[in-house]
Amino acid sequence: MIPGGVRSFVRSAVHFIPPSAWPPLCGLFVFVLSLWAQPGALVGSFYDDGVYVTLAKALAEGQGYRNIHLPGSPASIHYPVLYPAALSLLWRLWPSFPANVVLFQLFDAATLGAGAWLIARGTTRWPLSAPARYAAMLFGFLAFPLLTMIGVRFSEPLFLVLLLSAVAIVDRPAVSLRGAALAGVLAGLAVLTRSIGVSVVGGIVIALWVRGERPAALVSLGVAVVVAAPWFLWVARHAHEVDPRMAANYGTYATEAGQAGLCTLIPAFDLRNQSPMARLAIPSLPFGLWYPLALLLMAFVAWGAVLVWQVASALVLSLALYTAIVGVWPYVPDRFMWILTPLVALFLAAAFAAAWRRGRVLRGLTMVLVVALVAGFARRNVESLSGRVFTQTAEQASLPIRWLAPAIEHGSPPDAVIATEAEAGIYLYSGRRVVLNSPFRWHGRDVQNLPPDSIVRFYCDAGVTHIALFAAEGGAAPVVALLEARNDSSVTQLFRLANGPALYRFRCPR
Amino acid sequence: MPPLSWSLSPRSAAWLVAAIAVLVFANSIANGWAGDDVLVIMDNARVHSARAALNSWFLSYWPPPYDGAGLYRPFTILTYGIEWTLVGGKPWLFHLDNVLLHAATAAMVVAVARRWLPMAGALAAGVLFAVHPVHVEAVSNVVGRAELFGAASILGALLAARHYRDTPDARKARAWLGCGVAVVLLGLLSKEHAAIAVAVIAVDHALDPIPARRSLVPVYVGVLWVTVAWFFLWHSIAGDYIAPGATSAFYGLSWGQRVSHMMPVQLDLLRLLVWPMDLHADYSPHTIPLRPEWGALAWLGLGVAASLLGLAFALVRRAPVIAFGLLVAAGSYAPTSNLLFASGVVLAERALYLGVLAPALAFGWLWAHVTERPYRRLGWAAGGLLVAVFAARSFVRTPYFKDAPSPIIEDAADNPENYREHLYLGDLFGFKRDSARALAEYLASAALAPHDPFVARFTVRAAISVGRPELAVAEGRRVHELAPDDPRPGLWLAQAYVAAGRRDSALAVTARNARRLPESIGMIHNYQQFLDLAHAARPRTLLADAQNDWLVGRLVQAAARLDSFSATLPASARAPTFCDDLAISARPLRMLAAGVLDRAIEAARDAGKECEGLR
Repeated sequence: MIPGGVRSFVRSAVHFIPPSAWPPLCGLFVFVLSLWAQPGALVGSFYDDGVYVTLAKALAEGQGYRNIHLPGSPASIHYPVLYPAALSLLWRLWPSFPANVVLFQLFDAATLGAGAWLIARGTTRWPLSAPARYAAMLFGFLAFPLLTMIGVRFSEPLFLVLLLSAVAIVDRPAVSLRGAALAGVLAGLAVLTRSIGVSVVGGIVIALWVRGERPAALVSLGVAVVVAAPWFLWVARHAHEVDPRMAANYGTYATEAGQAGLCTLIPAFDLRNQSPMARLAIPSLPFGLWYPLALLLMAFVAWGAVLVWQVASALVLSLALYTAIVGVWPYVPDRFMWILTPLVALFLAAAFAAAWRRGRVLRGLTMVLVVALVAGFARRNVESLSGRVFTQTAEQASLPIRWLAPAIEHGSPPDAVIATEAEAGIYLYSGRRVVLNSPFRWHGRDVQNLPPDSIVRFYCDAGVTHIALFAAEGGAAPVVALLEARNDSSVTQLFRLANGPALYRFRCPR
Repeated sequence: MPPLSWSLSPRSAAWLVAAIAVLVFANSIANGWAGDDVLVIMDNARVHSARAALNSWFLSYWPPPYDGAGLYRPFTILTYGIEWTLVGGKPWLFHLDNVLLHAATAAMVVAVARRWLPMAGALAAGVLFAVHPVHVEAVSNVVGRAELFGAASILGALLAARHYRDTPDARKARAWLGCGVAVVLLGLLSKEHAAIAVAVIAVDHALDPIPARRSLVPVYVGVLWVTVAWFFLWHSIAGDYIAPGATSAFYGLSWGQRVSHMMPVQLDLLRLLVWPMDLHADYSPHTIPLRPEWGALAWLGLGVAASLLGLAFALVRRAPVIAFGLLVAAGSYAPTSNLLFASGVVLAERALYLGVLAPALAFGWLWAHVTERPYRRLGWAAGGLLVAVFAARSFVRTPYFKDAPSPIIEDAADNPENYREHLYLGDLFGFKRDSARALAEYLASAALAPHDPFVARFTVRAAISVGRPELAVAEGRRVHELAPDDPRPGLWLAQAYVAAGRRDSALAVTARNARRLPESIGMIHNYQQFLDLAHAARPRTLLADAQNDWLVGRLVQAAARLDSFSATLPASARAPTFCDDLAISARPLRMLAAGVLDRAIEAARDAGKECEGLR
């Protein structure tokens, strides 16, 4: 029980701040939290972040929307343009990498703060009391995977802001055609930020259609298509520029889907594999206990979504489509879900609040889930926050780049081409052109490396002069071992660190 | 007799105060470059055009090699760049702009005070602020611009916040909100002190007798948002490191000792705000003596500071204007108080610029109080006399900053006990190629501040240049013991040894330092330099170069050097320093060439040595 004095103090403190001030305060809190969460990691440690920043550099330097880190600078057709374009404006302001990363960090933190502001403002009509809403948001934004993600340069925060802005317009009681057009613009921009933004277009259009506002639905759809169409034209026009052997990383999503095989995209249903939220929230338990709890959690989240349907149908539909796409796509889905953590926490809170009012059974289930969340999510989160453990993933992933990039910069000629992992990061910090050292293709949900001989041929075709290894095993290590065994000096070790990273000179074998 | 200000509108009062400020400081327009102006403006290519200043937007305030001083003020730099472009580097425009900025700030003081005081009191507060002699350093020295911007932005934001909460028109309120946030942002980009803007707005809000029409939370959120963003940027660009040279007055002092030293300074601070007749450009020891132990003066200083804070809280209802002045003065002084962290200086008059609000608003309150009393004429006469004395002191003090040598010569003559003044004077003699007198001044400085190792940079160099290498060695040894972990004193000692013809000693001292701190690039650079000078054997050079390559990430080169070193085995193992040389490069040997390390240890064993602890 909270003592009466404390409760009245909290109440008076809360009343001192007018209700309209809570959303901006919430945004400010998340902004500060995001800045605090920035790790000492290098750009490129999470792969996509390096590519985004490289694309920003290309745009800022007037080289077009091209993968300037790859030989031949093929057009970028995999990563939509809006986030790199936003970063490129900051790059133009301060064209000094890596010092300018601080601007990117500020931008990402500000967009996530704006996202929190929009969530706080957009959920006032939800069937939840203000304290419950803000508590749920607090848990959502403090979730350590989200903090890990905000520490690297991903497009998710910008995407979240566009998603929330678009659905905020559509989820108003009445939507004018101008409002529908604006929502279409924002949804189109969401597509230009992340390809999965099609879920936002789908969400707002279906929501308007279902509500009988069909002209508005058509206007939103039309405007979104117009906004996003240039990107798809660009992709169609430049798809051929990407070497098919790098298509898994740099090709179109259609190519990926083609490699994976459409039938294999629908996986065998295993909640443990497919539900990052459940793995985050539920403690490690024997399968027989964990699975029902995870199902219960998912059911509550879904019920929460149903409960807010009346006031947030566009949001619910957009997130449903988003989750469906993430679920069937071959990537491990975790990263794509973390940005939704605050919204999922709000759905869950709505379900808890409703369950608490509907009899003993539901109240008991709520208690079970709350206990599971305390034992799972809360314990993991406390452990992660108390030692800033959430920063370690990116920092650990940075270590090989930290070793290799300066060594490559000082130990290879300016026209060298390096076959490496995290190629964009290596390019940014060493200034050398790069290619993947271990090209692969999708096979269902798995990846299949090219055979070593094909990889060597790929190196020769790409003009590779050096091979960088991040670790003693994995990546291109088998290829290097194969070449070393040939004894024809096609590879010469320049250095190898005791903990794995190594650099080799490469000559195409005759 | 009616009060003087009855016929004045608020706007006229503000103009009058501004005009007085301009008149009192007008003679500063004839000043040239003085003090830090030389490094920050005259010799700094970054401010020699607006474009260069814009290109330097994300660089620290001080140009290299002083850029580690922990300051980031791009807007101030931009204004210098624009002025340089307009008048081709002539200082008059820089000074004129400072005077105008000071005038605008003084005018804002009238507007701030008007909330609590009748026009006569607000006018009096503005006038005292305009003529206060402590302002001379900030107004008459160009680099004081940062202080002026900082204070102007804080008061500007406060006034914008007042308009925001007063205006009935929602659209105008939004405009004032944006204006206030923008002003704070410019202030933050001009001077770090603007970070207290949100606290100043809050204090003003809390003491405001007029109820607000709307919640001020958007203002707080907006100001906090830009303050947090600025802090993040500032910390990334300039906030990691304050050069030891900038804080050397406190070198070697613990936090407790620093606080006990700063407590008596509170008395000087009070004197400067109340009766600023005795002014100095530098308060380093022993203008203010170093007092690392708690004594009667420290307790007195603590008592005075606590009493003033207590007075501020006690007067919140009875005289909110005085409470406001005291609280803002305390807040504006806090960042440079050395109580929270070591700032660059013990005490600086320029840092009291906004702090003058305390005496100014108290003076305004007294003036308004006296106006309602029968003895008002006496009060006005006393107040008028005080203003006249202050104005005269400011006017007379302003030419002190007329050029670079004047403040140095005057201060050295007035404060022979100040060790930094002797350094500056030594520099001046050095500039005139009078090395002997430069050395004398540097030695005088070292004698006054034996705790500050960085004085030896000057003493050693000067002793070498006048052909007294043994004196240089003695100085070098003394300071190397004071700061053994800093590569610079080690380098100075080694240079002194070389000047004394003792190259082996130079090499030995740098080798010892490199062995003790092999991860310090400075120590390794020193060692490499003296290996070259001593024509050391190739295996030693290879190992030192490998360590240097390792530290800067040149792993290919480091591996190649260790390979070459391997070829010198086992012959190189017979060298007496072999194990020590291996110890300096132990990390790259372990990480890049474990086999070479094993062979080297074996070779050493064959040569009768045990190289322990290397694996």
